[in-house]
Amino acid sequence: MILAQQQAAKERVSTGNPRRCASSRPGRRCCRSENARLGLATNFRQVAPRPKRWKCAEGIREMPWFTVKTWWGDQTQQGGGAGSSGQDRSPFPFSSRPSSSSGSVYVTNDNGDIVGRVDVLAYKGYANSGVEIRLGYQSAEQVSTDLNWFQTVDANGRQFVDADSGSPNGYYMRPDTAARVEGLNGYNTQFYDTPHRVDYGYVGGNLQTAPTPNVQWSAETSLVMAGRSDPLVTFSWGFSTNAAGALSIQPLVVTSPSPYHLGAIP
Amino acid sequence: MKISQGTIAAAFAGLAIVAAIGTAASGRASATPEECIKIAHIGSEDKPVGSLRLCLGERGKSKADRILANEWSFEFDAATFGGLKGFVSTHGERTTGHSGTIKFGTFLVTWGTKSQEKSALVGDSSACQYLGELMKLVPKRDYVQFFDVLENLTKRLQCASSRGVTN
Repeated sequence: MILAQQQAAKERVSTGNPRRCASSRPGRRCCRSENARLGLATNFRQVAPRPKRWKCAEGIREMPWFTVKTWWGDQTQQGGGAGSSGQDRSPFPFSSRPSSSSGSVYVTNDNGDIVGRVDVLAYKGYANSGVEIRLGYQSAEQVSTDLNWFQTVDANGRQFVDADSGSPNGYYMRPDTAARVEGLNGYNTQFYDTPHRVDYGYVGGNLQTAPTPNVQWSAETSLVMAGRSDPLVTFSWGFSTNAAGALSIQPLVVTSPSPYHLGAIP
Repeated sequence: MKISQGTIAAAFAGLAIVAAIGTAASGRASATPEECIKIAHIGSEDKPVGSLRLCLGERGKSKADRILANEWSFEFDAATFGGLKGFVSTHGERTTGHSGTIKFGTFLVTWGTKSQEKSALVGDSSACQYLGELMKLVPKRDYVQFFDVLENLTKRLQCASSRGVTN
């Protein structure tokens, strides 16, 4: 299954539909040609070695080198820019770590050129009954106005698009929220979610909480550009609880989107 | 589901859950400058529902505390805040003998001063009505952002589609 997804991802990267260049809008620039395609980041393992310099022309700020932390192996890169520590060389998946995890994923186009970077700002348990995730995307092209996220969820077998109310086409954030988030903490856009299942009750007169047992909650979350059906990158993540309510956090991985997820993207 | 003592988590930082709910005033209540009303969603959720902090202060002032988590602060004039305080102090669940589970649409409402903080639960079945009543207490022309946030909140609770109560 996983191999099939990976193969599908490779095929998608190599044969994806041509995309309209972001620079076709006023005030935008585009790396490479006007028809440069933005592929899935499932090929970012190839990017893990020292990334190329941005190929964009003037005015594009080069991102600093930083530590690349992946969940399938030690590919730590030492860099010279701000924020590079090189300390975390854990070979384990995010979910294997006991507390908050962080890391970065380069988003590349089909030519392997980096078009942006997703930082995993938080991925950890939430209220002992779910998970908190926060992602930040920094574009190399300084394109941001039509960035959004798209998320589908499978919660104990029930599939649905997890969108904010009033969000056109089922995008995760409403336009006004997306606008507020733009530029926050230096990111073109951010994603934040805290799915959880918790029960409450009174014990000895005190209101207390407990995680809901037997929960299976998983999500596919894509970074998308409005009006384009192929995501820049897709993550899968989630959590589960057992019969006793014990929480397990699903690995946060870059994935090839499922047919359901891909088909739901407007 | 019965709550197991061993599984009680230190959930929802900052939420001091108090069981003893004091008596409440009726109608419009007086307010001191440092008073705030906190209405925090604490139920299960797929997407963050959000939380509100309503304080006595400058009419119409608002601030997104954590936009990603839909957490907002609003300031109200004395008359409007008094009305809100009067409402929250007379609504919500205060019976500590309640047992069972309280799920998705549950809010914890706290008000009063730090030394005399009071709280009440707004349960899943009454949250939509509760938020709708709050909106009726606030003049829309002066608090446009408040209405926008509350309407968004009720939509996140799926009030219109499945609960049938919106304002």
